[in-house]
Amino acid sequence: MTARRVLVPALLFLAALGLWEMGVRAFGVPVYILPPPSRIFATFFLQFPLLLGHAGVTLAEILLGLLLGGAGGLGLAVILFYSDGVRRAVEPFVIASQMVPVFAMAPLLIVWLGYGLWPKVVVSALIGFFPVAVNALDGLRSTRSDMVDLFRTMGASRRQTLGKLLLPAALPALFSGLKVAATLSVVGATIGEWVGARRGLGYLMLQSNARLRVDLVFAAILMLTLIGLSLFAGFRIIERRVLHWAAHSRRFG
Amino acid sequence: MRSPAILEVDSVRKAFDVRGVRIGVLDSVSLFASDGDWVTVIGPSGCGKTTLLRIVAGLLEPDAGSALVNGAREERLGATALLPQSDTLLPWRRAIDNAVLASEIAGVPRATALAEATGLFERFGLSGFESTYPWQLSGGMQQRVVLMRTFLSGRSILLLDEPLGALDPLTRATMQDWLLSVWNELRKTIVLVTHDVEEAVVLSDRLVVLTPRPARVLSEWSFEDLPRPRSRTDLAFMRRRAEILSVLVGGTS
Repeated sequence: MTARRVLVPALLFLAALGLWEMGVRAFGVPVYILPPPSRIFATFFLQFPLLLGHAGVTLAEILLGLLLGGAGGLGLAVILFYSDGVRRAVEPFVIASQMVPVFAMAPLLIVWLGYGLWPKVVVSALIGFFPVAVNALDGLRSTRSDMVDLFRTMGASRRQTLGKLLLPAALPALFSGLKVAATLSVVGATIGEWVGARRGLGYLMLQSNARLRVDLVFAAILMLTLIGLSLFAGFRIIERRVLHWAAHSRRFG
Repeated sequence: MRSPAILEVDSVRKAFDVRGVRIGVLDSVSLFASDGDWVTVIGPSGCGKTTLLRIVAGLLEPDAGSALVNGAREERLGATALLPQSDTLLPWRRAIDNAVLASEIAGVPRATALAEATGLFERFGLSGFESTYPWQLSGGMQQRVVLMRTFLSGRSILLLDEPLGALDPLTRATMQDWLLSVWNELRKTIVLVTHDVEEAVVLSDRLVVLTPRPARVLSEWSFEDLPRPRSRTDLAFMRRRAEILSVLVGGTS
């Protein structure tokens, strides 16, 4: 079962790479237009120290962005959950903020925050915060009302109900939001680096593109993909550990 | 001569608006219990038994009439321990942590609460299962954890909404006998809602039979002439059960 689940996508991937390799060679496509996969992998391993250095910067931006976006999203969800007034006042702006292309914000953030780490962190956080907020709010709202009533009969304060009932019950939804945010924040950090940076994988891609080192562009993309996949897998592992109960109980929320 | 009531419900009336239609649930229901009494409420399904318990628990206010707990009209919320009909164990808490939930909310020091709960695990037939999660327990064991949480709440009045309703008949009969012995030891005042006549006669001091919705008190029964433990096959027991059943089905007293 498990072997099959891994085998089928792996075979598909290898077949695609094989077609790519043969096509590029058969039609004599120049390396600076589209390098064959063999060349990309060779570059990936030869330039691994360089890639790793830039990846470290990008990863730091992504993680800080996730932390900021995740905390902001959860905080906003709790506030919106408790205050209908605030929710009515703020909700249109929260939704409208998602219509503003992050590309348009990035140059401004560079102007405001400089060329360092922070504008990338903010772009990453801005993209990640929305799915976290939406999912966490859904999770909080779907807590069973009979459980909330039970807590009332136990004389629970608002804070006790939040900490002992609402937040744990919202955890599965929160993790769904975080997994989406994790993949989006990779995009966010890269965009931030394109607009203006001195280090990072996005910066490396831009530089390599200008020098027609398309193989290095692809190697950087491969690195970004690996970062995104690891983040997603990391969240899945934490989720399985923390939410072992969720798999066995019918949806509690 | 009645001993002073610690629970007194007098001519309570309650109606709900359901999609613009006013639906009377309780027409006029009265109920009283002295300290240490076991009073059972029975009636056709949907007759408002749960609504009655929710009023006593302080989750709802009656439209007319009064509900007094411990001689006071105010502050019903938090004065009783409610056991709702639905599955109310927190799936992310181990059995022992579920059992101490109410004491934890009341601010009892954790060590004290755990010591008290650990002592009861054997009495509740759950020793060795302190660290298991709800999904690992059978239905009967889960319900015993819920009952333990209710008994450990530190309240003297327990409101039990069909606590044995979801169990198979055999487990149910065993649990009834067991529940009776626990009640004998821990001496609480119990208001039990059930739709099982046999359960009512086995367990209670007094029985209040309600009419279909909107509920009124159809008849009241006392079982003080039947000494406990009551044998289900005893002639006097079976006669009483048949009488109540005919009233319940016939709808007149």
